Amino acid sequence: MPIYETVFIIRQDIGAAQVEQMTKDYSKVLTDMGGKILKTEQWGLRTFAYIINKSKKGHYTLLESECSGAAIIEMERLMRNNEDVVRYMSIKLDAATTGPSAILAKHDNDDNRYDNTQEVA
Amino acid sequence: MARPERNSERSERPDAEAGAEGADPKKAFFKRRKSCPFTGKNAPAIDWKDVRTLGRYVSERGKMMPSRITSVCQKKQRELAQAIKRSRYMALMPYVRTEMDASSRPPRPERSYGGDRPERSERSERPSRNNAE
Repeated sequence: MPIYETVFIIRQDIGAAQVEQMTKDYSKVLTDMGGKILKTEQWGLRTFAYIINKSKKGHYTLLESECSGAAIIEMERLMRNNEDVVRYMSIKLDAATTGPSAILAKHDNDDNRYDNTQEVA
Repeated sequence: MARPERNSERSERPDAEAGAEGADPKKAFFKRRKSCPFTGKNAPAIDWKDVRTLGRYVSERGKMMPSRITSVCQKKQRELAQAIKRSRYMALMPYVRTEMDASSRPPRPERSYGGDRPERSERSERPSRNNAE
């Protein structure tokens, strides 16, 4: 089965615990349809590069899974129906990734840089 | 499978030339060609989540840089463009980055100018100004 990488953004005013719960729910959709979760990452509350739906921040989550395309379609359908999901994107990968993604590896530095630019602006 | 080999050859050749002619400052000035930063052994993979790397190939305004400036090869430029677009969609990178003066800049001088004067004179003045320029 192909490997997919899904990143979705959940509204800012949802609690971190609830974000975890939603992540579990979506993972369950994939596993129920015969998929396998390879990686789950919480990127935490990140500042958007531009305003989306009048909000400036959102909870980012990454899910890497080995599952059928139908399962991804079903998960995306559920995300579309859920108003708390601001954005989602699934991408088919050539191979499973190793280690944390670029965002997590450089999270602190990126945050600092972003704060600096904000102060200038 | 033959493609990456060809690519690496191509990218290495100008490098070698530049090294050989580095001693001669005149020739080095003309023939210095950088190789693609994404081809070669230790080249970083293009990842849409890697905002830092992608940020180097985007102008101050947030536009993608042309490959003739960044010397990214065609194949990688296509990948790069895709990655930047993805990271824009997920709000990791801006579509446009407006400078700080966009908010603090006073209202456009042309507008106040037009308001002070009757329409006709403004119209007649515009082409003349263009001609002068």
